[in-house]
Amino acid sequence: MSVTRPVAVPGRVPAGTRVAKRLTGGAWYLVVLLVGVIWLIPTLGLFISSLRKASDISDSGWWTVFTHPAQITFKDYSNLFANKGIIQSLWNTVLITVPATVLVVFLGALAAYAFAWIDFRGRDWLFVVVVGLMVVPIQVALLPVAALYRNLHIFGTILGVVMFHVGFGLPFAIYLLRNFFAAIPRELLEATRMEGGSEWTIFRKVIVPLGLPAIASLAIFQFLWVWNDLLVALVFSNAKTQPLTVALQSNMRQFGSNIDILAPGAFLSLSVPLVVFFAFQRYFVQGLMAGSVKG
Amino acid sequence: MADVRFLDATRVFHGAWRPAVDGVSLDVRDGELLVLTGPSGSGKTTLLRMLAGLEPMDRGSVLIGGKDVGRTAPDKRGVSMIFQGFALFPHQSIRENIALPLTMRKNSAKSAAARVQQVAELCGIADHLNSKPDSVGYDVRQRATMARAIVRRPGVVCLDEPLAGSGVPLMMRGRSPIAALQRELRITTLYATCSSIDAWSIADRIAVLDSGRVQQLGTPAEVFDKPATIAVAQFLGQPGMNLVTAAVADGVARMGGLAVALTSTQASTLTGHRVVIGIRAEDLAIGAETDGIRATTVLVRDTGRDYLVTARMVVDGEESDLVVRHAGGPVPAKGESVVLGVRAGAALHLFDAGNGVRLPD
Repeated sequence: MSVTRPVAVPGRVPAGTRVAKRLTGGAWYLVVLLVGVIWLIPTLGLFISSLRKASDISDSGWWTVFTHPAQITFKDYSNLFANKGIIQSLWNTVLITVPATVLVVFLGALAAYAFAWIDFRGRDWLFVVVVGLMVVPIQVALLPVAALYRNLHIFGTILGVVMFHVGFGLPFAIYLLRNFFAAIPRELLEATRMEGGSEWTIFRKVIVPLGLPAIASLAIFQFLWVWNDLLVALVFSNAKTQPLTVALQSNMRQFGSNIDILAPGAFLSLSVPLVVFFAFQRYFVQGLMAGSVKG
Repeated sequence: MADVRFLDATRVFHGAWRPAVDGVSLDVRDGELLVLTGPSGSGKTTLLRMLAGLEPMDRGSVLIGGKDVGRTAPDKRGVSMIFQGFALFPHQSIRENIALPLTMRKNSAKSAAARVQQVAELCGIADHLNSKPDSVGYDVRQRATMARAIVRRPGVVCLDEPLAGSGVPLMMRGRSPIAALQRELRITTLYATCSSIDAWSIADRIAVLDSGRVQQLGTPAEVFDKPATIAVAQFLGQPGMNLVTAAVADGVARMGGLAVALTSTQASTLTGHRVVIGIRAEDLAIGAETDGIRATTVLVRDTGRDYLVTARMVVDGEESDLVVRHAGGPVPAKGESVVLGVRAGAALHLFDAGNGVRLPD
């Protein structure tokens, strides 16, 4: 037994392990491969479309590019990067996503540590409230928060969008991390406390390193969610502070079929989450399994 | 000098129906290995945690080297704790693990490295310093926890092993490195364990706890030969002592065919009219004596070296089971009637059935 892994109950294989085992079987490889290909085809289509002229796109399908490679042009991308509005909105997306992710992970981890390991009055009731907040639909909060932001004069600002994302990201973050942190053996925390470690030291030296799989997967989830968000940004941002998703959507409305901006813009918007996903793929899977296998 | 003294130490957990540790007063001598033993929930771990400063005290005090440390922070008490399951940090090397008490106290990197090397050599794990805890065997992990516990030269080391038998090798059994190191270094050590077998082999003295109170404190031989209470008699030994309640009439307690005469001191100490007679399994024999205890065999267990025969007898209409260690001769079959006798020279233990205390010999 290693100290980090709680002793598994013999004879009971966790559901996650069973699924994972099945997935390694030959037939499942085929299924997974098929799903992957089905997912990949539209992405590839989008990518190729973004490299074709608008006139070609309306004339023929994107797959004709394989027989007519001359269609490929980088003009749309250079136009896109010349478009100040799109570049500004891409920058806005970064300005919204990075703080919203960092704040949720940082505040969520601190709160989760307190909920898991610090004894204070009303702790369990407060946690029940946090868990309850997870099921509040975003739509319910749009109007009251909009009114609140007007009073605070932060309506249409990046700060407002970030705060909304942080507020709605925290309950799940706290819930996920608390359960993971609570599974860290008490002895490790106390061994640190015996050497004079403060709560902050324990958090930094024990909780964060051992909770890294959960923290990383939370960060990925939160990053993807905020990066791809349209609804919140549509309500709370304005023309100057709108992220890429909103900018692309408004382009669509103005020009009908403005495919030469939409295709490269959409692919640009898609590529960052893809990079994030593949870079942290390992944590992503571990995070999904958090709680069942306790990696 | 690091002798430890508990004075009326008491801890009541919120919502508990009785204190986890109930007015414990206990002296641990400098350099001694004291084993705290007792059934689970008897308060051993809580007592250690109070000494270490991980658990507050509701009443009483704890002194180390004559100084009251009740209000001293855990890291300033000079107490190290070895936790159940070793509690090594899996993401750090053995070297970093051992160095933890020094790095947390902001020792200079150079002096810390030298000290870690020295302690690692002492504990025989100098070759494993760069490994991660999960990649080495239990023996090395045990030595590493011991190294971490002594690296800052503590006055007292506490070992907590409340769940012995959960798959992790017992920390102190037999030739375990921790036991050997304790002998060599002579650091005052308190060792909490459920296993009474562990307690015999290594302890200087044993403190038996039950229901948060110290039942008896003494050398292994003392607590084994003269258990002070029924709880001690029941808990220590493998199997535990046979205990049969018997009524006292005219200064004689009768148990089947066995008559035990009480001395006048014993009779005058007795609070009621009933005693509990205790006989160890080793002190009973299956024999043909006519005035022995008549019983029926209900269970025979083969221990490999000898047999443990459980025989059921009836005293005053109540059934009691006696366990006999049977070494030689034919083994009785299940259901067979046997006559049990007390071996010559064997000790009988008498307890007051009212308060569970041993009657004076």
